[in-house]
Amino acid sequence: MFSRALRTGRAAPLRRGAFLKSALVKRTVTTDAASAHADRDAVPEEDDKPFQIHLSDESFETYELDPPPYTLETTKKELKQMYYEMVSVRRMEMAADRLYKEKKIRGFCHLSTGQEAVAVGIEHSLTPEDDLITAYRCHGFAMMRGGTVKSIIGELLGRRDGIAHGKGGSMHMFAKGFYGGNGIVGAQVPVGAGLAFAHKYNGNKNTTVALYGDGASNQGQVFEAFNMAKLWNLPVLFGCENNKYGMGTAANRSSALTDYYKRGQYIPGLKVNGMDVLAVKAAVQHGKAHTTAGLGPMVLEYVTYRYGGHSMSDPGTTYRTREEIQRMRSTQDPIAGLKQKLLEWNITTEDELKAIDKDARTFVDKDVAEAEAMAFPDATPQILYEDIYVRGSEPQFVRGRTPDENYYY
Amino acid sequence: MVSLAPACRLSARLTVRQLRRDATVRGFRASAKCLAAHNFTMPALSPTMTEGNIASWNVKEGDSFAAGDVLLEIETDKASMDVEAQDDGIMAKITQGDGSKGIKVGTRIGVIAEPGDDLNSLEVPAEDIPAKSPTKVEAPEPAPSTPSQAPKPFRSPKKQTYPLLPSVQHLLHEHGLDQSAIDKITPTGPNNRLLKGDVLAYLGSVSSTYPTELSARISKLSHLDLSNIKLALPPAPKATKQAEAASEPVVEDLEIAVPVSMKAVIEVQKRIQSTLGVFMPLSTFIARATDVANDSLPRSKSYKPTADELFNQVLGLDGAASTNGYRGSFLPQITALPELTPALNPSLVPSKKADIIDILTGNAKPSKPSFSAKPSAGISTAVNVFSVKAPKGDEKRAEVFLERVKAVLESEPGRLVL
Repeated sequence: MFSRALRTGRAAPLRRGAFLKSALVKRTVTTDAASAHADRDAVPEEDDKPFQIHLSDESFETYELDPPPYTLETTKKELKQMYYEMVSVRRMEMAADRLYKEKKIRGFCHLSTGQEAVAVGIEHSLTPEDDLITAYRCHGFAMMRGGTVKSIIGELLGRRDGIAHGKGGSMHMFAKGFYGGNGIVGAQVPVGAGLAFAHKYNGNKNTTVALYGDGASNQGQVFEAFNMAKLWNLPVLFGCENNKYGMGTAANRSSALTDYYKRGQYIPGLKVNGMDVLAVKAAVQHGKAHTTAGLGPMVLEYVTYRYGGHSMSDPGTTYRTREEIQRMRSTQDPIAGLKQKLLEWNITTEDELKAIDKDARTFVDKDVAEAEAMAFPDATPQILYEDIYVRGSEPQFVRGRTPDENYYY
Repeated sequence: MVSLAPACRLSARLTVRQLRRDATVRGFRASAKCLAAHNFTMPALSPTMTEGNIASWNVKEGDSFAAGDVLLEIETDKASMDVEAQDDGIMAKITQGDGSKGIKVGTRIGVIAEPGDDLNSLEVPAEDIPAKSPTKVEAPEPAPSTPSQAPKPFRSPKKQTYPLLPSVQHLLHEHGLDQSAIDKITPTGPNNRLLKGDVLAYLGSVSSTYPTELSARISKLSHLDLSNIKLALPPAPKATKQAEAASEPVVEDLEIAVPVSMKAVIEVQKRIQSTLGVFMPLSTFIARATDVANDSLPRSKSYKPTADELFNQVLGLDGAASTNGYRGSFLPQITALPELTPALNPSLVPSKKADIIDILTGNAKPSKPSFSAKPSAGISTAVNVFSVKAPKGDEKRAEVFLERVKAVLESEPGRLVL
């Protein structure tokens, strides 16, 4: 009797909650890339003089958290830099696409065309001392964290001068403050928590951004990392790049709760318009302040969209319509959105933007050509066994498959 | 494709010439001179795709398209896929039209210009011939020398890259040899490793050539020596083989004979005729007796088991089969003994009369008439000789067979026909 009473008593609020939720779904984060606005008169003449931008009210959604300020301070120079970087990332991904289709890049290749605002926005709110770790869709992040186009494309082509000496490929790129490029779905999240623990341990005022996809957010280790991060109040910004499809499965077909920013349960969450580079910057800036103040981790959800397939072997049109992709591409594109704002706010002229486009393009094309001319690594044991250990810390030897394959340093 | 390429290039050159002429006639350009037309090559839509067919183009020459638009549909052996534009542009030229078949990946199928380019002033870039195959382009590397090749008799001392073996280290320590001495010792181990024997040879405890000999011996024994293997000789010509076969003594069949009295059979025959009014020819009795006797005979010595039987043997199933024995196919030849068969039909009497002793000892010539000859009531009485020919090794079977025929015909022939 008692238990039945309990059950009915609990069921009622649940149902009420479900009703409320369906009403709430209508008001959600926008994916409009050009939703911010600024006073044209407030925009200064000088490139370096800061001014304020007002983000759209629909840029954020929060969970157990006060929303970040809807104003963002920036400069003309930074905005132009953001634009240049987003165009460069897109150009590089397009070059990778071309090289893959020419069969020069082999193996895995996951492109982030359409998701550039996340990489660029995050980088613009971090310092070089902060850490970033992400999954296998990592070309843009590698570039933003200091990898050159030449070294990244060289890595994809398997060349000796690639960012991982041609041994990592698309999924495994590393730079200072950038811990990859991880091929195992979700495995980078606990590693990210560890990186944050290092900051806390060393007493640094730095934060770690640990990114994963909407597909990986259902991985058990993600929740294990959440637990330890909250338990120890680690300065980590868990970030779910929600591009709506985990491989070929729509988020609502794979996840019981598609509000990925609420997945932290006991961790405050923030859902961000991931197509608007300014909103991403504002959110991560706020998150960084939150974590470095010792308030513990935060779960962010970047609502974004990828134009291409999951990887190069996925045409990307079997689980979504071409019209959907074209609609996102033509109306919500992060680059086009920022371009529109730059023109609207009188920050640049059409010609200047064209020049930036061309500049980025020639820069990428030149680097790609140089990468293609790079040499392959020699097929020697010395090259095979190097970099297993930090240079200088190698043991006497490393075992091979058979004793005569043993390599002696 | 090879034959197509020059044609394409020719047509491209002609178009360019035509375009240039047009431009000079018109004398002005609507837009800045374009620089960035580039070839659009056959894309590899999957890692294993090597060539594809163009099902249809969704754009025409001169059409502009936006990033994400479907440019064309490509069919491969596995699927048909849409190719999307990665960037905005204009389809300046289509060199491989709808329905082109078997286009290799990397071959030019069109030319793409930038948005806003003036197509009339477009320089069509030369087609870069796709590299035939990346493996061919690279210079073939010399085959790596095998690590365990036979050691040369005198190897120069070599700097040790490996940590020393404990036995070597101990020996060096024991004899107070220092680092400089190590470099003087000739190593004979694999990959120029210093061995205990090398140190002993250096110290003079063993003969100085011993380590080299030993390592040569080890290296020799570590490989299977296949050098003296010769190819099998081609089969000898048939003629000589036949000659050989002819010269070989032919294995002669043995003849085994047993005298069988037909008395009981004739009695049964008469009884049947008197009671049932049916005449049962003798051949019926003999045929049935043969049939019964052929059942489950012991196995021939020269019998070669089949693969199935061998397999069953492996599984231990052969016991069950052997209890049933093996059916024989003997056909007895019947010779009436002349002195005992006065009423015998003359046609059945063998021309040369065989001696019973000869018959019993197996020396008799086989008799021509067989029991399958028209049966006659004439072979009615007394003893007939039943004989079978058996190849060597089958004598036992033949004996068992004849014993059974005799037993059946003499003791209870009635059961054969009832």
